[in-house]
This record gives sequence, structure tokens and C-alpha cells, in this order.
Amino acid sequence: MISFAGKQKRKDSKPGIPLASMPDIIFILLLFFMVSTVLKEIDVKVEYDLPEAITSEKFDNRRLNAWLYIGRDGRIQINDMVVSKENVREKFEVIRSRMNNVIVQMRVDKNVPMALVESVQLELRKANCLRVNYISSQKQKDEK
Amino acid sequence: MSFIRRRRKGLPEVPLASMSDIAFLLLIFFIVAATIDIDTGISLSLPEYDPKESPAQVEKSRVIEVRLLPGGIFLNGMPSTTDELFTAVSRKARETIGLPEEEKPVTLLLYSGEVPYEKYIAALDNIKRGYRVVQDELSRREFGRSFRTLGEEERNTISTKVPVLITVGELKNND
Repeated sequence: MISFAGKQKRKDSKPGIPLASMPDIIFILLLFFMVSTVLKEIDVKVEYDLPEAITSEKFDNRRLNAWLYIGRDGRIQINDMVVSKENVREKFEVIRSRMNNVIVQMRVDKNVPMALVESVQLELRKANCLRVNYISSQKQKDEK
Repeated sequence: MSFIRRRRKGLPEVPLASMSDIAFLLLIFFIVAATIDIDTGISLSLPEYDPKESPAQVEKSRVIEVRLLPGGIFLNGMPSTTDELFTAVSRKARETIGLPEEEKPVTLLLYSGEVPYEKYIAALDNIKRGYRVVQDELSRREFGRSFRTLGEEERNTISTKVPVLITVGELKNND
């Protein structure tokens, strides 16, 4: 008798995997990704190829950054705007007044002559933004 | 009859079955939109701006002078390669581990305007690597671990013994 009753219960029940908690699990994952996602804020308007370096270090501090791009054609973009060389300093003074310890993330095309980089860096120094970071892709050590 | 009975037995009115689908869709959107790639790069502190551009007073013996010219790399006036740069910096840094702060090597990286950025990064990379190798050696000797895995305090100990001192600047025509 007991076995019979058990059998009947079996027949009634839904397939094995409990699906009730599925939405909860997915929601937790969803929340995780929502919180950890940094949506791309910057629309890059210049083209560039990054140089390679062995000592490239990872940077995860996204809060203190300003972005500086120098493209293949020598155009300069700061954060979201393409600017002329003369406006670099002004722009960075504004940025610095908002973020005192700003780190300038420089993405410079590898074939840009140093004269241009130097003139931009001079403006940076005038604006007292001294911490820079030359973004470069990581090169494997053994291929040196 | 049967219709009424089904009603009574029925599930709560809000259909929850599609909830997981909706959540999944959102989840996929955020996974796709997430920028996972973390930037890598070489950090550097630029020298402070000085309108007079007065040369810093550094003892000649401390300075490793690297010049990047269109014709190649010159290390203390001698033509050289990036690998030699690395060797020279690491040797100098290794020799000066025990010396006081005022005698630690300073690498001066000077470049002319025509040199492409790529060459500059390559030189900077090798100079950094020179210091890094010595820091790593010292770290293994003192703490038995690589520099990368050290905590902040231990890192500082190493960094005071092997400080990474690099200055950059443009070569003027009269230099």
C-alpha cells in the first residue's frame, strides 16, 4: 500500500529539475553584470594602432581617468571631443579642476612623431596633469 | 462543471514562467555590453613644468643618458640597441642597491621630434624592464616571491632600494 501511494505521488509531480529558483539565480547574475558593467562612454573618433610593450601593467582604476587620443592623422581627441593642439591645455585645466589626481590615459598611434606627442605633453605639464599612462598592448616576454 | 473546477485549481494570475526569459535577455544584454578588456600600459610621471626649463641638478655619475635620434638609440653617446638599454639600466640598478638615495641611477630619455612614438615606447619599456628585473631579483632574495605578488609595504621597501627614476624630455637643437 505504501509503495502504491508513493507511486501515485511520483506520477503527479513535475519533471526533476526544480525551475522555481531559476529566475532568482538569473536575477542575481543579472544584478552582478549590471553593477560591474561600465558602459562605453567615449566615442572614439580618431584611428590609431597601439604600440606594444613588455612591462605593460593593468589598470583598473576607472574613476580618475581622462582619455587622450592621438590618431594616425595627428588629430587629438580628449575624452569625447576632438580638439586642436591649442586647446589641449585649456581642456585639461578644466579636467584637473574637477579631478585633482587625474591620470591621463594616452592612446597614441605608434607612428605619430614625437614632436606632436611632446607638444601635447608640454601642454599637459602646463596644466599640471603629470600622471600619464601610455596605453600599449602587452607583448609576450619570449618574443623580445 | 469542468471549467469552473479548473479555475479554482489554477495558478496565481501573474505568469511567472516568462520571467526567467526576460531576465535572461537582460542578462545577455549586459554581458555583451560589459567592457571586460582592461587597459594595459606604461605609467610615467611627467616632469613638472618650469618656464625657464632650467636643467635639473643631477650628478653626472648617476645619469644614464638615452638619446633617441632618427639614426638610432644612443646610450651615453654610444650607438646601441634596446636590449643593451635594458642591460645597462639593470646593471646600474643592481650595482646601486646598497647605496643611498642620492646615488641611485636616473635614466634620462631624450628624444628628437622625428622619432616615431613606437620607438619611444620601446625604449621606455626596456628601461622600465631594466629596473623591474632588479626589483624582482631583490624581492625574491628578500621575500622569496616575485615583486608582482608583494603587498604594498613590501613593495615600498623594494622601491626605496631600487627606485624607478625616469625623466623624459625633448632634445633641443643646441643639445
